[in-house]
Amino acid sequence: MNDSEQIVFNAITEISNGPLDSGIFTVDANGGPVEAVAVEGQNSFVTQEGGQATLESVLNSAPAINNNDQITFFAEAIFNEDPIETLLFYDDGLSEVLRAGDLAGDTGGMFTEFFNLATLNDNGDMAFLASTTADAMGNDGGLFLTDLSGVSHTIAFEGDQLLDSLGVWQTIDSFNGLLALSIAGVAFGVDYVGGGSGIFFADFGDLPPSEVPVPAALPLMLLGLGALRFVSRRKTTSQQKGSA
Amino acid sequence: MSKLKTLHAFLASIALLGVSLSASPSLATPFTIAPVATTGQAVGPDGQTIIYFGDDASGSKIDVNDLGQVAYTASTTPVGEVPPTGVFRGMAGQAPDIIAYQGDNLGPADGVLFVVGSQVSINNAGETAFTASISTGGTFKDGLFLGDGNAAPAVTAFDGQPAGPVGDSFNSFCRQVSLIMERQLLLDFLKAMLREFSLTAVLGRRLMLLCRAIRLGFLANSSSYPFGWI
Repeated sequence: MNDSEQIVFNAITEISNGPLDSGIFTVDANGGPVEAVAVEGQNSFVTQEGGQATLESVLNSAPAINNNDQITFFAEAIFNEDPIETLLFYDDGLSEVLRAGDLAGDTGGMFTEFFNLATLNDNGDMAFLASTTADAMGNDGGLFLTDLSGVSHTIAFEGDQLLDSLGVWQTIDSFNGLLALSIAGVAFGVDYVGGGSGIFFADFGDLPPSEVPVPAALPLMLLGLGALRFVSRRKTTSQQKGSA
Repeated sequence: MSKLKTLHAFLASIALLGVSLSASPSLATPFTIAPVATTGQAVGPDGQTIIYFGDDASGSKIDVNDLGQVAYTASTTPVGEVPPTGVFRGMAGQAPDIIAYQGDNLGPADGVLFVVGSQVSINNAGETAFTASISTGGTFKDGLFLGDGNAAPAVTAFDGQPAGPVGDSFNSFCRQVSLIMERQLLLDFLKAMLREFSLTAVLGRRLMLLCRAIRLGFLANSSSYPFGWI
């Protein structure tokens, strides 16, 4: 529920004793009709590529609403006849944020599955837990942040080391489903390798997540390495000329 | 000499990168991760330490406000069949505050907190709402509570309380809700209900609004999207 008492919820519907359908609905706690945001089989949405896909199911999806009446939730959707788990965003219309198969932050892998808990803050940021294709160490679970752009950023990943409240370095074994988001940052729970668990807070600082172009560091690093190689080659060439 | 030049070039490239890192916001570290609480940490009134977070049975939640304060539930030592539970408020770099702890005495009328912690919510004032059971003279009641860490938690709603405009009383409050709502919906509603309030009176109103919303759900049976399982 947001500050204006709009409640978003997930429910199963039945139309004229027909099949049961899952849907995402809103209701104004101060009165007013229940409104459908999305009902399986009845809603299509704009894909990342600008096409259309059909909502297949929102079963077990826990939606979130912010103070701008924007809503986000996970759903299974049909893309070219294939069901794919998708993160959707509703703001006077339904649109795709990202889906299984998209690049998973900076992990180098792709999303394979989502934990169905959606979070959304007033800036339109969405934090979520997801499984990815495994990295070289076999780690395949992480906490990610995205916005309507669909570009995701890795907040934490299995195998990462975090300093706990007792000053001990702990390695993340898995994410335990505890997750909350505000405009300040993300609170999340992890289980440690070797036992035990902890709650951590990832501070956004002053940066909107959408302005974290980590790849932008890459050209500078390449520039530096290129300069090194250039100097090194010059040295080698001059030495070869000298010896010739 | 050429080695020196190479070293200078290397240092220059690092410096270039370093200046950019500090000067360009786009290259700043996006997330600073800090601990809020961990198993083994002392949080209880007598130094009891955290065994695990949540109470397993309820799939408990955490919540965070815009200041970065985190509300969470935890089970603590002594290890036993049912270790004592509590609701805590933590923030990175700060010792946790006890919002409520099993055995807290809420006064002769309201009883003693029996099982604390399942759903929690925190507002920007740091006030934390949670569900719990209380024991009064050998009988148990489920209810909603509000604490700020400075005084014993206040009971805000409980079994038998008049349910405002709905015209009934809460009868086994939490179970009553669960009887008419699918579990996921119940969690959504509880979370929704617990969020954002700042005063007990406001929470009471939210409870009434919740009841109204539930009724709206039933009324929706005649709409184009009749509800089947709530």
